[in-house]
Amino acid sequence: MDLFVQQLVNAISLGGVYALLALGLAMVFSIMGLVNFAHGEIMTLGGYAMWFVTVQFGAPLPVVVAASVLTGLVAALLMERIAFRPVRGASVVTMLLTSFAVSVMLQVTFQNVISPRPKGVQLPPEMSRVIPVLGVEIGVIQLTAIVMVLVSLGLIMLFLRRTTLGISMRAAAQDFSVARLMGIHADAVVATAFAISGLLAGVAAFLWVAQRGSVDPGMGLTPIIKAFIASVMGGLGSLPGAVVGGFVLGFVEIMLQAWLPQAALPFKDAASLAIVIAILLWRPQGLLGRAADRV
Amino acid sequence: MRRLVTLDNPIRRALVGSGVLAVPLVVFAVVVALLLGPAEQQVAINFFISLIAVVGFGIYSGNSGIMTFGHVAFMGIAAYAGSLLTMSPAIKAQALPNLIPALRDVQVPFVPALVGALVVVAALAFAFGFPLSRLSAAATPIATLAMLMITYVVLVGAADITRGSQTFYGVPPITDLTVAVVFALLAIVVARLFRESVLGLRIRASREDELAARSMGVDVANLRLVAWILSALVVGVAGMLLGHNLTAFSPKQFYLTLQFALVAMLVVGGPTTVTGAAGGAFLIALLMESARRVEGLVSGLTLGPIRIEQFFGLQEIALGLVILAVMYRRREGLFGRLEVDEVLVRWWHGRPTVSRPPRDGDSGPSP
Amino acid sequence: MALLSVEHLTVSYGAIRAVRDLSLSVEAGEIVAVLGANGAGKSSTLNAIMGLLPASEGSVRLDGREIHGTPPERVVRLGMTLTPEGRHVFPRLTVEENLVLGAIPLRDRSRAQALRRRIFERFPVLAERRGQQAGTLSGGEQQQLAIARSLMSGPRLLLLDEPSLGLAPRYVDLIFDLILDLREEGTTILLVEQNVERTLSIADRGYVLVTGQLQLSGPAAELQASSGIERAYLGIGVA
Repeated sequence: MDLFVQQLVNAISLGGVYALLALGLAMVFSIMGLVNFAHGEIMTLGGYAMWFVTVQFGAPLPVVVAASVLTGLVAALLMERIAFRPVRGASVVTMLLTSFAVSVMLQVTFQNVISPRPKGVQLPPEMSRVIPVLGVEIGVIQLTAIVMVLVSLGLIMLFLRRTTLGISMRAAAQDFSVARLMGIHADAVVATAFAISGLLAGVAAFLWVAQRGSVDPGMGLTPIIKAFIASVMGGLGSLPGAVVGGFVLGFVEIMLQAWLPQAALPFKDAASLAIVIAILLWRPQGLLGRAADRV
Repeated sequence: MRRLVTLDNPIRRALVGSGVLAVPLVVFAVVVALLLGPAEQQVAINFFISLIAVVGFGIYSGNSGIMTFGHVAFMGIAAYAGSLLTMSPAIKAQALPNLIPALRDVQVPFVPALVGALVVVAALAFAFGFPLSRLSAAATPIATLAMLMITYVVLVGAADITRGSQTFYGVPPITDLTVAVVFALLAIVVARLFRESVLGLRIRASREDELAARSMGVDVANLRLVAWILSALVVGVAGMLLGHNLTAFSPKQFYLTLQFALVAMLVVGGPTTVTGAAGGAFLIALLMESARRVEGLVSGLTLGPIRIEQFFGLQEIALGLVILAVMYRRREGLFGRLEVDEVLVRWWHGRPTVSRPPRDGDSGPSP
Repeated sequence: MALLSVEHLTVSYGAIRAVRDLSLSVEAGEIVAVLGANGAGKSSTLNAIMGLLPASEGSVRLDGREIHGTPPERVVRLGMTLTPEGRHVFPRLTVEENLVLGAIPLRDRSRAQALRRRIFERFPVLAERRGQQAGTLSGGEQQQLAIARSLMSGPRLLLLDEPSLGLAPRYVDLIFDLILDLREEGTTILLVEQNVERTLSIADRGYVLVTGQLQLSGPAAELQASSGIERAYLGIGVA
């Protein structure tokens, strides 16, 4: 039972990170049809910001979080303005390739400007402690992750349901040109989508780096591929689908980690992705997706 | 003469088109073989192998309009599977002590080994392609990336067969310039025949307007699957040739860096035509080779107060810039939407050879 | 000065020109109809006036001010809006949320509140279903919502694209009554319709398009009497 609860906590904290990333991807995709490969580099930049403030200033934890989140926000907005505005309204393939190029160029830039090797990020030792919750030993990092994920998702949901801008975002995701007839500014909606995706990537970066303790140029790649596949599993472009997909993938990975025999552990990532593809065989439009409907 | 230039028969059009494309390639190969040294010949071999892979990508991506970020997986699979069949049992016993005896003791010539490798590729292409071909056009590229990741993880994990992330060595050096050119020409013929075939025409129709094609009774999912498998086979040939050119390799060489370079070749030339795939492969190969030499020159250079210890990834930067330039300025690729023979035929008839404007922007929302 | 004046409007899709050299005007307080067969360029005309189609040439003036090239999100703030063909409500937003979006161009909160009250009085079914997802409404209800959403921006000029298309007869009556009511209250209307007879019975003037070109125009009564209009629909009148 204890073991099960512990695995559950692991699954929620890992799945939560995927959910944050997948939600950011889905937000941008549903508004402008961009599958943003460079989302992972936004996360990596957040990680480097954490490294910078801890190494340079020995910044306290809240500042580290703020650095990661704000860097994510600024990086996403700049990326939209510089790289993606010229291809706005283009086909899915055009935007996809553009983001692919941006992603690779950023990675190479990190290698040259910072270092090709991992940079250690020291967080306060309390972060790696284990505390008893309801009779179960739970890591502070996992607990932080669960709280931050739930708070982020809750805030996003409030924003999307309760504010006019949030409702505009959902409307634009459903029908962009009619949204413009409502007086919704295209630039504002697109920028907001990137801002949210950047904020979420920043939160995800903090949780990811806190777990691993270092950041390197290619750090964003693996989580982003998984977030992508999570959003496809949830139904590409569906915001709730992305969140569900993220959590499902987290559960699958943790369960495989727990129950795969030792010899099969190197294949864990392959197995989880294969399970997702199998789910897509059963529901090609994704768990919460609608057939012939992007949103 | 006039009948020849109208080229109404699709098979003849495919063959004539391949021939027109083959002439400069063969001339290039002969010039390299006769006039240039072994280093340049190696660059040329790399180019021809890339060309096969890109033409293979194009069979799927160009005709269906769906970009692939995973086909390099088939190169890796073919390279490992084929090499296991051509390597000598003695080397296998030393490099792969845990290999099952049946696989250790077998050794066959290149062509049967290629067939064996392609059987493996076809089986995996079907296994991945069946679910993938049912996804939406926007979701598929992501799933292809997942496929590449799965393959990479498995190649690294299956250390008994592949030596894991360590270098896999002892593969006989079979791929020379002649072999590479012959297979490149074959790949072009296969790609052109498929493009001009009834299946090719249908899948291209689905690329222009999926709903319209469906309403005409085109089974888009199965057509994509057929193109996917054929494409995987041609890409597998490239992988087999690359393996027997490198003779020692690791899974990392069949991962994102190579995938990125090949996608750049496809996109820069223009994914919708075989001409574009070949032309893009040539231009990018040239660019990569130049970047590689510049990288060597720049590393260790002192520029005023800055000393560049080692410069990484100039090739990737160059590729990225080229992709961005093409996406911002010329989305249909440098060679447009017409095959070289189609351009010549139009020119013969005095019709404009400029392709029609790209129908970009109608598949996405347009803010 | 005309409220809306369009001069030499040309709309192209690639090599195809959907509308050629069209000029029309709408005076304040009028109901003006644009008629024509399928594919005559009626919807393209409205979309181009609204700024939804970038590939158009010519001049579009609202209150004498040139708005050609102005994006739709700005045009609605100038007091003109469009209810698109096929309704296009946001299906996974509630009725209420759809209406909230309609009021975005209004700066004045109290005016938005007043408009919303009026709209719920005028469309009781929307008041009843305000919490329901718009996609679950019937076609006639969705059309009411689409028009109501447009009215939430308090437009002086409303462009209506095929509002009665595909609706049950009782909803068709409701829509045409509504158009007359709106005019009574001072909203000017530019109406694209397939239902020629009913449209001409409520319109002041009409323009008839054939394959993107103006074929006939004049007071509704004259158009009703002329034989040109049938020819336009049958396609005989093409020069």
